[in-house]
Amino acid sequence: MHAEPSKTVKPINVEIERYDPDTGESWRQKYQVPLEAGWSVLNVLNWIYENLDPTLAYYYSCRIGKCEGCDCVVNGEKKLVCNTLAEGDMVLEPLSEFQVHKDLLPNRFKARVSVGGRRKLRI
Amino acid sequence: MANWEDLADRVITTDLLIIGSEGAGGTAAVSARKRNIRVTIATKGSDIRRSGASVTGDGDLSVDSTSLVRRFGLTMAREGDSPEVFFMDMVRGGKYLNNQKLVEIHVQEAPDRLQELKDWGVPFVRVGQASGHSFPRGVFIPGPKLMPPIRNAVLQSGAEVITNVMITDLLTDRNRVVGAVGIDLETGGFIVFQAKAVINAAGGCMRIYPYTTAPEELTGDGMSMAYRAGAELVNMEFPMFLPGAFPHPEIVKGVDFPFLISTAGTRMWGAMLNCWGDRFMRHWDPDKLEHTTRDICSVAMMMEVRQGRGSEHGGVYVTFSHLPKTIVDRFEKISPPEAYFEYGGFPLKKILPDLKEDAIEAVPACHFWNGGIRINERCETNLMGLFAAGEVTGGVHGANRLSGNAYTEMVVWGTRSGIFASEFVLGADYGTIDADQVAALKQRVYRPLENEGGIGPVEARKELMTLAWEKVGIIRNGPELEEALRSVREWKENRVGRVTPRDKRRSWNRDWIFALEYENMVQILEMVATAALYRTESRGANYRLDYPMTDNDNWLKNIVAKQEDGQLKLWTEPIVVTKYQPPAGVFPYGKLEPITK
Repeated sequence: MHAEPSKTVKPINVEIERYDPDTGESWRQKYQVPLEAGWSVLNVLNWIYENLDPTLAYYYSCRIGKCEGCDCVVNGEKKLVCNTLAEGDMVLEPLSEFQVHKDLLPNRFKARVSVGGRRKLRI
Repeated sequence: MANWEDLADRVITTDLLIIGSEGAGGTAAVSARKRNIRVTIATKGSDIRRSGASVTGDGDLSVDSTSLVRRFGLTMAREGDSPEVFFMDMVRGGKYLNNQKLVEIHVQEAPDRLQELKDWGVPFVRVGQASGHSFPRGVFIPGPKLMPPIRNAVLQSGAEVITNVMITDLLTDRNRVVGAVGIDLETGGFIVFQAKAVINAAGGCMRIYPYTTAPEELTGDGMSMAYRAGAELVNMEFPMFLPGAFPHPEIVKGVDFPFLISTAGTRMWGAMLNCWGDRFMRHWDPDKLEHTTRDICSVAMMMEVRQGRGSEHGGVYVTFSHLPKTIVDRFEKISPPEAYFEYGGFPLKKILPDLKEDAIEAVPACHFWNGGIRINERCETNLMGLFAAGEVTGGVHGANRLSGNAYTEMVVWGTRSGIFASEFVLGADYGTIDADQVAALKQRVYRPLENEGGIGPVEARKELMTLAWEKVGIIRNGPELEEALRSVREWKENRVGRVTPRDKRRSWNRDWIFALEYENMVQILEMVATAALYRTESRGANYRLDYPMTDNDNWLKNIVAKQEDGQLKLWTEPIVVTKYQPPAGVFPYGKLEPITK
């Protein structure tokens, strides 16, 4: 098979809004990720899940911008994580319009009722 | 022994359980609901249209061209076509291994199903002609435009949809299927479905390969659960590869843009080169070059890689550099951006080099599953009460699927399965659920959470994908297949069942689901490798270096797989012929191509 190509790696900080449905607790967690050129935000999430934190919950299916199931708030903007290029430090939050199952995983059948801040709501 | 109900965290009793919520499962639900029975759909996805292959289609739906002109007024289609011509293209394209009874129904019912989609509000963008088709038959419908109307039709039909559920096994009462069991991904609870009939529409197993255009969750669950329950599977040696997805960079790995600009259709512009700059398709098909059928193009690409003439990331190159820049600019101008340079919303312009001067890399990616659960014309399997439809089945496409026929299969066979399963339900009782069986299946599901010290599911999965790609991939060879089977059997013996999730909780535990999916993937890989080794010839997606000829004298046969006494058993049966008897003789691989005018 082919030789492993050389990689350019840039360490980035990724801050993720977490929520644990078992305890009702919310917090922001920071991870350091060795970002490679040409990674999507989804590739970053997968790297964290595979290497740092198996408890991180997020949803994706098609990876090609079609199922629109992986949408999250990336640096304050709603985006699909699969087709968004990761270029530096980032803050990831769940969609604001739905209740949250866990971490970045929205419950698409339950709208968020209050207009207040999410973190306040859960405390 | 306890009652089976006591073993469940939740019991769902329904007339008809449909496993899978997308094109096939969705249309099955709509047609079954016409008999006013209770229909329950269970899906691993978070909602209809948020998972499965249907929404990812690029995507044509094939219908004979004359019907497209006369019945739908689509002027890009052409008179002169007929279901009979379409039938012949499918049988030739399928390298003669199709079940011709199924093909006849497929081509006959396609126009009615297209009409139904139109009535549901699905837009038809344009009509194109893909390789292997004698006429322009492909009604282009992007997946994200197809699935919302299907979703609406399902919800309006009154079918109940249960999301975020992984069905793990079917329940049987001797030779009859009486329900299924699964996990609620949210709670981790054990659900027992009691049903008079089950339609398996759970899709393919493309995820056993590291390069695939398919979604994350297509791990062969449907085929594996059917196999464990005693169902027969057919044509499992024929996964289908699309010649041209990105192997790199990671953000677009598996995206089929290189295919779309080179081998797709009958006249795209892109050229495929090896690392010596040779347009190698001239050695395989001097007339059609990259526009030969997908199976041959995939084999040609991997031959370059195997013989050391590949690209940096294990593929070949695709470029426009042989064309005047004016023509490339024109191509960009007349092409729909969402199908090309704005594909999937990816920032392709930012990621890719200038195609007028440079090349991108392309690797064949697993795109479809030709084989699967064996069905008859009524979508029945060898197990009473178990029906199947869509990509999870085998037989319609034989050894190779023509472009556009995945969508046609989905709606034609999804709808039929709903018709015949609902008919069965009307004359059926619930059957008997065996508490011992439920207990054993429950134990199998929760066992990974108690494992300690075994390999992690992520690592196990990656090893499986590497083995599948290198030894049971596009170019196959007896000794390598045997080597793969030794690994697979070793895994079945010592690894499956001991995979250890890092997280032990039941709610939203990806490691746990990966561990269960891994068992299904190993099972499918064993079937693919065993059938590939059994078929001592090259045909469709089974290209054997050690048996490079297509042997119609000995191999106009289907390989059927079934579990007996816990072991995989294979046998051959003659192909099902209704109208066309394929020619006898032995031919070089690729010389049975449809002769299109």
